[in-house]
Amino acid sequence: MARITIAGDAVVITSTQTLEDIKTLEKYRPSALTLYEENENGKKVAAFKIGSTTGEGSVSPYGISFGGVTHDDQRLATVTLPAPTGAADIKDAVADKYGSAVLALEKVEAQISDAVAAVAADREAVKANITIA
Amino acid sequence: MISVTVGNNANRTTVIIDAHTTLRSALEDNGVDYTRGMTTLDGGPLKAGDLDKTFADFGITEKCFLYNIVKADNA
Repeated sequence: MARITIAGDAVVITSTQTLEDIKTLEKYRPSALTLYEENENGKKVAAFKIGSTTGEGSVSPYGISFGGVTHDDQRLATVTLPAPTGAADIKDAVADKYGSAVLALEKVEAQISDAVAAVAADREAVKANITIA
Repeated sequence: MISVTVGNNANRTTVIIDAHTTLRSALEDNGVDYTRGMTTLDGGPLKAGDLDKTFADFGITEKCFLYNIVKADNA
């Protein structure tokens, strides 16, 4: 599951996936970054989506936009948010504010590894057919 | 990410996109012809130059409605 770190007045959500992989899937397989659910008409609609963005990123009921990366070799995707103010228990307040998004993120992350491997295999197959004259 | 209901008189669809997407990209990616009629964001008319602004520029943080409405001529 994604890590949530509280430092001062900032909350950082760190994905288990790299920002580079998220950007790759945005380009080649955006459906892998989306959670779908059935609406009242039985039609599959997007319910939650993750992606990359400029700036620090954001979290909403509809998805997470990652704008940063961890500063270690893993380069995992991160989003930096303001911590809730005036809370008696900061952990409770953060779990209340961002918990449902993080749970949805975990479901999306479960789809990512297979999709990244499939995209890499497809790209290798295409590259194998490229010759330089 | 924000939820945008985008469309015209006849069709509309709800998509989840990054708030830093321009209004023009959102309309084009969803096949909405904005060259005729009036384009509105949450009911307010857009003016020249607004289509290249992002939803974040307009302060949209969760959801909005982006429509192009063509008024039919009366007989």
